[in-house]
Amino acid sequence: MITLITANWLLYLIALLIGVVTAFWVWAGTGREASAADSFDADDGLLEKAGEPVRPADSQPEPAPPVAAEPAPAAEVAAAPVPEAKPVETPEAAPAAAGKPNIPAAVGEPDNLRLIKGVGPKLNTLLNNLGVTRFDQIAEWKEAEIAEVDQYLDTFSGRITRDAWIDQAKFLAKDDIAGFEKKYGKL
Amino acid sequence: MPLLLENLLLLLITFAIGLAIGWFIWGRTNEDF
Repeated sequence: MITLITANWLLYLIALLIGVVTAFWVWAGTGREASAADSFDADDGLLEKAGEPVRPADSQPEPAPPVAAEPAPAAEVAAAPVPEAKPVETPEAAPAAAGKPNIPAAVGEPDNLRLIKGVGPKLNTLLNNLGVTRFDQIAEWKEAEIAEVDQYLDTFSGRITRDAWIDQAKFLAKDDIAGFEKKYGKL
Repeated sequence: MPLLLENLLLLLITFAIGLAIGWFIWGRTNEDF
């Protein structure tokens, strides 16, 4: 066996590397893709609500291809930002601009969010800074709240759904440790 | 055991080791990274 390994060590090294790359692709790669997709969706949903003026500025160069022969698309471009800019005056835009997600506030003593599988020290601090401190608060989140909070999670974007925080928080909010451990492993 | 089979088995094992290393780096969920 040793002779086999020494004779084909390069082959084994390649196999090892393929294993590592596969693992990266499966866990880190998909996580990143998912988070990118999530944040993109979140942006879409939020922009309709908050009406940030960034979007129209971004979208302007896109529909302006070098083919300037048709005047119709140009007119659309000019018209497009106007309806999107309107919601800026909605009252919902104010909390979003304050740097904190527009979600129901936590009521009561803060919980140790690190009990949620997938939440470590950095994420815990980040969540506390965002005003997320309790399991029952997270357990109540729906699609809108998830999208709202997700955009503030930076590199952790997509973790709420990927690590099933809502389901985990439901168990922890009820103090159903047995149910939690059965589904997610030991606390 | 035929040499080819032994070779393939060893390749599979090294692949699994690589997968395990990758899982330790990127797959564990209860940590910030």
